[in-house]
Amino acid sequence: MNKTLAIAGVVVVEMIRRKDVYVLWILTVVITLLLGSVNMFGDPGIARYLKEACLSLIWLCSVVISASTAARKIPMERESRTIFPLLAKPVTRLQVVLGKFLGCWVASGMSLVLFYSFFCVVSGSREQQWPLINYAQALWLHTLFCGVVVAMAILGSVLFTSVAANMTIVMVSVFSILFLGRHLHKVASRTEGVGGVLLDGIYYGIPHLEWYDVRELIIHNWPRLDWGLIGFDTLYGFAYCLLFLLLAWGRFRRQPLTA
Amino acid sequence: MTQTTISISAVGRVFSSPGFLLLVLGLATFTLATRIEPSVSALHDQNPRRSDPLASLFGDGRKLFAKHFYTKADVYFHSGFYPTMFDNQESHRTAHMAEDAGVARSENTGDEDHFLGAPKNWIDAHGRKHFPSVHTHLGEDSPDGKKNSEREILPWLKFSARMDPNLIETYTVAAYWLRRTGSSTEAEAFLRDGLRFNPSSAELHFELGRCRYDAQDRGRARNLLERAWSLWLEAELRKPAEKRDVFLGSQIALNLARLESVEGRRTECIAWLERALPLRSDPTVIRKRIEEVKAGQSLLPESVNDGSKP
Repeated sequence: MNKTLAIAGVVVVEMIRRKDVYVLWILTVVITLLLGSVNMFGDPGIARYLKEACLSLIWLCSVVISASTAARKIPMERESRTIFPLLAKPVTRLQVVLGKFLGCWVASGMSLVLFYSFFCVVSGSREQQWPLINYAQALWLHTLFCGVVVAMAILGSVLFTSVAANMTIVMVSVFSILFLGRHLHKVASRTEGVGGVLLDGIYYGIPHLEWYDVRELIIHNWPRLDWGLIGFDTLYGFAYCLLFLLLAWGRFRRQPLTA
Repeated sequence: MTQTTISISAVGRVFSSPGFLLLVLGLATFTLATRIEPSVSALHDQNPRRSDPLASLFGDGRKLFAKHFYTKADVYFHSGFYPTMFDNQESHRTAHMAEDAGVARSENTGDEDHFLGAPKNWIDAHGRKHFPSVHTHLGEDSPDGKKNSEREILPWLKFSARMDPNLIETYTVAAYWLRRTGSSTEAEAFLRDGLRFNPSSAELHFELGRCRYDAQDRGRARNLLERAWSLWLEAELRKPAEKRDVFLGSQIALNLARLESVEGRRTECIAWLERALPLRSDPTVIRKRIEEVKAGQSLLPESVNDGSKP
C-alpha cells in the first residue's frame, strides 16, 4: 500500500507542477467573469445562466484534465524507460496501475476543489446564498465521475498505442454517454431487430456517467439529494473503476515493457 | 551640368527611398478611404445588421441558435424539467412562458407532468433522481420558492434576440415578464430595440401600447395601439381567413375598447368591441360587453384579458 501511495504522491506533485490546470482555471474564470459583466436588463441578481456557463466549463475542463492526465502516465513511463527502475524497486504492475489511478484521481479531485471554489464565490455573490451541502454533493459526484474517466483512460493507455488516440476515444465515449446515455433505451425500443438488441446491450453495459451530472439540480436550486442515493452512486462508480483497473492490470501484466 | 546631374540623382534617390514610398502609399489609402467611406455609411444606415459580427460569422445559422436560446428560456421557466428530442413533446409545442404571457395561443396537448412516462427499468428509475423530474413554473411553484425568479429566463431571451432580432415573440415574451417582475422601463426599452429591426410589427406596437397604457400615458398608448391595428390589418387581410392571427387582432381591438371606455368615449368603445366580434371564436362574451357599455357601464379590465394572465 505504501508503494501505491508513493507512486500516487509523485503523480500528484507532477500535476501540481504542470500548467494545464491553472490555464484551464484561468480560462474558466475569465469567460465566466466576462459573461457576468453583461448587463441583463439592469438586474444584478440574475444568476442561473452564469451558474450554467461556469458549471459547463468546469465539466469540460474536468474531462480534459482527467483524460489527458491519466492517458499519459503509463506510456510516458515506458517511453522514458523509467518503468524499468520503477518495477525493479520492487513494485508490482498492479501497484503501478493502482498508484497511477489514485494519483490521477486525487489530482483531478484537487483541481475540482479549485474550480468549485470559484463557482461557490460566483454563485454566492449573485444569489446571496450558499447551499454548501448541495455543492458538496455535486463535487463528490463529479469527483466520482472523474475517477471513472481516469480508470477508462488508464485502461486505454495499455490498449492503444497512441496517447492521442486514447484521449480522443475516451473523451468521445464520455461525452457520448453524458449526452445519450439516458436515452439509449428509448432509441432501442424504437429500433427493431439486432440493432435494438445491440443498443439495449450497450445501455446496460456502459457506466451511466450521466448520473453524476447534477448540474440542472444545482443551477435551478432543487433540494439536495438523498444520502442513500449518493451512497449507491459511490458504490456504482467504484465498481466500474475496479472493473476498468482490473482489465488494465490484466492487459499490462502480459505486455512487454519495451515498445 | 554637374550640379544638375547631382540634383537629379538626389531627387531620384528621394523618390525611390522606402520612406517616400510609404508616404505615397499612406496618402493614397487615405484618399481612397475618404472616397469610399460615405458609400459604406449609407449602406450601413440602410441595413444596420450589415456590420454585425454575429451575422457575418454565423449567417442564417444564427437563427438556429436564436431558436435554441428561446427554448432554453422555456427550459429555465420549468427549472430544467423539459422534454428532450427523445421525449414526447406534445405538451410543449407552444412555450409555456409565451402561453402564460398571452402572446401565443396554446397548441399543447398531452400531459405536461408525465411526458417521461413510467420508468422503463431500474437504471431509468434511478437516473431520474439526478435531474429535475417534477413539473413547475417559475414564480408559481419553483423549487426554491424565491420571489421574482421568472427573471432567470431573461438572459436567454436577450441572447435569442441578439442572434435573431427578427424573432418577434422573443421581445413580446421578455417584455411581459419584465413588466411582471417590475421592470417596465426595461421592457419598453427592449421592445423599442425590437422595433428598430421590425418597424412593421403589429405585435411590438401592441406591446408598446400596453406598456404606455400601464404607465398612464393614454395618448401615446392610443397612437401605438391604433398603429398596431393598421399594421395588423395590412398584414392579415392579405392572408386567407383561416391563416389570420385573429388572436392578436382581438387583443388589439379589446385593448383599444378598454382605453376608450376609460376615457369615457362610449361610441368609440362600442365600435372597437364590434370590430373584435368576428375575431373571437365565442362572441357571446363580447356581445354581453357591448350591451353593458350601451347601458352605461364601463368596460372592466378583466374582460380584456383573452385567456392571458395580467
